[in-house]
Amino acid sequence: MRLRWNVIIGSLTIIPGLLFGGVATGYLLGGLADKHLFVGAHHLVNVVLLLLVFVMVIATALTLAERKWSAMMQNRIGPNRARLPFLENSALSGVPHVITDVLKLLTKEAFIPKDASKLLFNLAPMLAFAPVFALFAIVPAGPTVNVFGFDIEMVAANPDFGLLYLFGIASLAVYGTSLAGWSSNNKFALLGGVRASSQMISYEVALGLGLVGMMIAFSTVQLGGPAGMSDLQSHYLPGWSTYLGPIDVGVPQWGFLLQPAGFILFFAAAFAETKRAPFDVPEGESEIIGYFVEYSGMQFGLFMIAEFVEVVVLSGVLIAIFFGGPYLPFGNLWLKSLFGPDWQWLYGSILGTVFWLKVVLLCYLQLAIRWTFPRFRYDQIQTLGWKILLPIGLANVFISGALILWDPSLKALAIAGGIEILVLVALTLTPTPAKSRADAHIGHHGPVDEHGHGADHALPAGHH
Amino acid sequence: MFTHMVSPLTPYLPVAVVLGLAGLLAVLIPALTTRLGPRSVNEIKSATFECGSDPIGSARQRFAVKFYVVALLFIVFDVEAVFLYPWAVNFKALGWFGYGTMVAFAFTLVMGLVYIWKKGALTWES
Repeated sequence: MRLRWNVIIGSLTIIPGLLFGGVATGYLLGGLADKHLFVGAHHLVNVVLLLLVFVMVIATALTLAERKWSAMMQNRIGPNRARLPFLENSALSGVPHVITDVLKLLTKEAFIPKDASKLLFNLAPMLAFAPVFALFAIVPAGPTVNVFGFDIEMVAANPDFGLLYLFGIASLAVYGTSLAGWSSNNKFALLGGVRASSQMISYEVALGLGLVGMMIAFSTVQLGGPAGMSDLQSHYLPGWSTYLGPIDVGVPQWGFLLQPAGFILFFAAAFAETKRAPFDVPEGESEIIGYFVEYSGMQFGLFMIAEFVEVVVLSGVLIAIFFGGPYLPFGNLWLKSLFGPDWQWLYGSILGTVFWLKVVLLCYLQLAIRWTFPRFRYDQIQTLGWKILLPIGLANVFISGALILWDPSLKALAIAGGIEILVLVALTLTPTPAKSRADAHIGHHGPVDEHGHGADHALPAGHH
Repeated sequence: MFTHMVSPLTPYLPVAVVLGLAGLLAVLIPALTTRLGPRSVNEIKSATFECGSDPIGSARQRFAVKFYVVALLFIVFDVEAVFLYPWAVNFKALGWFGYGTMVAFAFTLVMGLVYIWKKGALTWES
């Protein structure tokens, strides 16, 4: 594939530039709000900035990105009809679809079939969208820094019940899908609705168990604030840090290192909650269409945008709990010392940009998974949830708990986590046995397969 | 001008603001589309959509009992997970005694899981 350097360099400057501008605006407006309105007013600024601007804009952009990226993976061009002047033949030729799609959905007829239960039919898309939208409130998107003499937290709300809010509100979304399926009075929709609700409640258990290890390690359910999971991950494991000249380096206590099993459990379960492929039996396009088969216009649009908001929120939550929040793996103290007391908002904005770049990367990972794996069968989904994730989750909680009681400095947990990661990497790099490849009829004709091995030794004898 | 006031925004107030905003958006967006969109109804269009074939009977029918079993299991094991959260937060204070207590509690539930597994409640292919 030809590398288009202008596109690569352009996106590497424009995207972080936009994110940096947004975060810096947030810190400065927050400081101004605290100074001129009342202390704590920056939370209101953050509600608007983080939820309405960042999450909604990224989610809307993802509706296009999903089609563009899937086109890229499948060697298609993708949507390119809506164009900007001067950009007709560039990679950006389909970008106005973000706006035209919204306009199209808004001006379509919001149709209600005559057999449907009117009230519940109208209520369902609202119940699917509202909880998902409210989820991001507790995710800190930047460090707490001093702006104009006030401590500005880059989080919409920082209640002490943090993760409980996440679990509570996230599980409300199941009402939207099951009501949509039932109230449509359509057999396909009903099937999609019960499949969706059954799948969502099955993975709810693994979702909760995946995070218990992190709650034990940090003794909190709060995400933001100095004692929250996000900020605790900026610390190094005690004794395992040093200085390289002015730069501090060490092993950070990131959740991914402490709890790799918890991370995989939570990620798999949350991915199933988003109902995206490979967990998309509730809305399998080629078989039952889904619980929203009878919806049209922006009521369908609400289901769709809720799905993409879920992708963004999941990325944000994963980063806040497992990937160090807004912090870099090392050098945070050095970075902070570079800026004087009046310029701390610059430090905050840089780390805020780091947070959103991590979010974009994880969104890309989720879209790549969605377009790589084939759909699971429904019995496979239930087997994965109950027979694999639930026992692993319980074992992980009690093994991690014993390690933490044995060594409260979390080093034993980090060593165990490092071993888990090595085992996982080794398992991933192990080539699939030749026999099963022949059965599955997967022929690699390129010189190199996805793990970087030469493909020839992986192919069965007599393949050609 | 109010800089000397104690913050009236307790940590919980922004949560209420966010929930209110979410509800408002969820009501406004569908309301907008019903105002902007066209409106025409006819008999065939308002029939249940089943890919062009005439729908037979209502969708208010019985469906597989498996889904009900999953809902029951969810109650049991999600309540277990809920019990784990307060224990996890106070884990270090409770020490090995708390650990042993929770192992005993989880053991009874794992026995339940083994039982329903053996009974076939988790088996979907029949």
